[in-house]
Amino acid sequence: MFIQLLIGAIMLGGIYGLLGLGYGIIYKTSGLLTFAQGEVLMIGAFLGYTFFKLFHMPFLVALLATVVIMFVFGFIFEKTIIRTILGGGGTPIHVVLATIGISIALQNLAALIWTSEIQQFPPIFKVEYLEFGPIKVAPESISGIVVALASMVLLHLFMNYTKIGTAMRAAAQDSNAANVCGINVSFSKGLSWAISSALAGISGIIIGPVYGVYMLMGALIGLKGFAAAVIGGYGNMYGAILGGMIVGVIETMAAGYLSSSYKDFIAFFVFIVFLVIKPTGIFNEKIIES
Amino acid sequence: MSLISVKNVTMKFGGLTAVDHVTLQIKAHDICGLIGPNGAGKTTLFNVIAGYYKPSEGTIHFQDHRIDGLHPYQVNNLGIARTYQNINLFRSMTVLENIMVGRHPRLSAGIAGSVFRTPSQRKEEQELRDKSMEILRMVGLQHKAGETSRNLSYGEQRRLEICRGIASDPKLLLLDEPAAGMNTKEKLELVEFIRKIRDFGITVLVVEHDMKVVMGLTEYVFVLNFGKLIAEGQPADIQTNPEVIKAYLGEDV
Amino acid sequence: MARYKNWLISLAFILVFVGLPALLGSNAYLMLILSLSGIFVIASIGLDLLFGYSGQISIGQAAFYAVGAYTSAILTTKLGISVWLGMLAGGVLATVFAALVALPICKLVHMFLALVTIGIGELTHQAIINLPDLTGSFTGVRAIPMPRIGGYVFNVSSYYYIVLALVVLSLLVKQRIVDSRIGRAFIAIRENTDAANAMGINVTYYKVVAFACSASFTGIAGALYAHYIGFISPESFTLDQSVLFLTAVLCGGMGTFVGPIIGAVVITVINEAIQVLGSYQMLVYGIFIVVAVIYVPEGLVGVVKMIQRNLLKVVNRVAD
Repeated sequence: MFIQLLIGAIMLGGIYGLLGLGYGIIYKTSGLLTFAQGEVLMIGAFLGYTFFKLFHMPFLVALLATVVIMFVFGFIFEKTIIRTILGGGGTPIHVVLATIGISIALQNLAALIWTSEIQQFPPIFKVEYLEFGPIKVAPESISGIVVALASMVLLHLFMNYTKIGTAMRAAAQDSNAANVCGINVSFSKGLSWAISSALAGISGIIIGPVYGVYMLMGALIGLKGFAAAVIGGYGNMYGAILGGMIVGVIETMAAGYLSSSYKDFIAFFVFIVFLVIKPTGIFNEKIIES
Repeated sequence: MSLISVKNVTMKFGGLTAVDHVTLQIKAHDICGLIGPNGAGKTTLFNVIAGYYKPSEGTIHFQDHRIDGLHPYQVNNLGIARTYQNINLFRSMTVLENIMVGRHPRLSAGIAGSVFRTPSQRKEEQELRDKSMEILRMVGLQHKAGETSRNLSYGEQRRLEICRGIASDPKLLLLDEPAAGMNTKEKLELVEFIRKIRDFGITVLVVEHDMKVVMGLTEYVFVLNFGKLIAEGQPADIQTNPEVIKAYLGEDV
Repeated sequence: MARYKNWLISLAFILVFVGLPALLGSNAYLMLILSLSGIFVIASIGLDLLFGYSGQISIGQAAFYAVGAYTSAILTTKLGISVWLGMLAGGVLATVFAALVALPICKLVHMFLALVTIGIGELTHQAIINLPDLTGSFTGVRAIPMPRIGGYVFNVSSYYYIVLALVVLSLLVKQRIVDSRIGRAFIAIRENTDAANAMGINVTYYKVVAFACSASFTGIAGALYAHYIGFISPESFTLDQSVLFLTAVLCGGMGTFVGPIIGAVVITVINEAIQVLGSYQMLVYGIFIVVAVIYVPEGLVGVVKMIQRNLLKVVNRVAD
């Protein structure tokens, strides 16, 4: 059972990590927090479901299409809503509230466009279960882990080995200096929101086939993504992944060995403990403290 | 009898030593100056004395209390007030309210007193207003008491910040470049004002770059360079001290 | 002279609100909205003290709301104590809870404080769900009694006067706090925490006091809610509720006297108004929040002030 739980934990951890990555990238480039990631995940799941089941596209094509759409959505979102709020005298807390509003609207929108009942992905693979001795694993869990890992590796390569990625990191460290170097900081910010949305969309497609697609799937996951980001060190890419794994493992083990109703309590408890005792996280990111 | 005694105080930030084994004493009722080139560690020393930083080494004694390592509000409660290089007023509060906040440690009203408006709380608030207006009159700001402090001119804001500092009846006032950005007339008025502050029984330690102000105002000067105390003495002696000249102008001139 | 003017205006308003039920012809639905608005106003005052005055963001006020509600509900239903005592206990417990919680978290600021308050809110929500013997978990607490004076038992109509009295009391207490040494300390901490510290203000102490005061108001509001509706369950004490409080305070205008009042009334009214939209209501609500944040970042109080200023300009021009 432990291995079974562990695989589930790693998959969840991967998702929390991807969300935490998204939060971190946005925070680093624009100093903002968004509460819409969970719902972006949900929309990504619904889109993937739509393309795969309703339009009968091959799974990889559905995945790609969803990612591209979420990417563009994130970019447009930053350029329109976020810019307007900040330009009109809004503070980061206004942005927070606006993203909360968006998340509420998206939930309702999803229910209207699709339905408020749980939708199931049709099986992606020909086999229903992979068997390794006594362990039965749904191949969607494994593919989910693979997709999550692949995303993280691609992101790492992008941020560290491409010109745009390096420009983004520069803009995140010091936007004034970056501007002076000719880096388009404004584009960087849009890009960061775009990447975060894409990551959330991918997360949706990973978890959709495993747990089903429904309107409220993103709410709690979105909050746990924060836990991942904080535990690892808010803003630190690798910290988010580690933090995600920690949250995934704690939650899954708590559900497996204690009780599934306690798992959320324990996850939030660990979250708060970290914020209070070590807000800089495992990788010691700088935070503002009074 | 020294009012404040700084012994061997060192302040390190990682690999950088901002204050290097500084020892100095200030006598009560003196007006002392703290000078040195930019980056010499003057503001850092202020921050250590005021409790914003805990010194890496050394001790600070103020009137028989050991104050190094205390929180800034505790240092203030013991009788040390400060101003800032960049004006740090409470910008959305009125001029009068800024002074009233400055007097916080001398008041005693708590939640119960405030909510129930007990007679002692009302008396305290009334005395507070009177005293605060009195302080404003000293610098001619009394007619702007109801003005939001961010609307004041630069010179007025500087004066207000000093007033806020003396509102708590401190024994020692740390002034960080109070003359910055002032014209000659304003500087003369400032010097007069600081002398008046001393007449109230407040000891003053001033960081200043304007040598005329330092020479005209202070009775004893400490000179920092690269965090070390390189000279101290009467203003006239400091002016001709070769170490001091070297610090400001580079190698022997 | 100005002080008497304020007293007279306040008295006039109070009289209007006292007489309102008679004017409205005891329309039960409107009375519901008025009472709910009043309860919301008290909670909003709590958040305004915390966020508008001491500058500490909280998206977890539902936790204090819940402590007040459940404390009073459980004490009155399980132990049969008087509703007045129950409400008082609710307020006290919420205050103590907030003080304990605030101590370790108040050193955080801005986004991190927002996150930890969300965590506290969620934790409280989970605690309610996971303590079925105490709270009844999802089943909730039912048959929460109405308060009584002597032989008279209040009903959903006359409850309005209790709410009104407490709203007036809350506004009075808030003004007194704001206009005192405590309030000045709060504002100083909000404006410039380091300078406040240097002015002799024990920042940690006052931050905790701010949380505690905030919870007093919010806890009493929760207790009022419990006894008004007669039934509470974990669903009413989620992040959504905390968001409602924040929206009310931001949209009304923070750090002002009327801001929280306007915000609370507007949010309550809108909450009721969108019910007619059926399955579209949350969509409209979400869009409303975004629009409000974009067009009224200073809150409606800012709009009122702007209208005042423009009116003054017009009047001056006409007078010339």
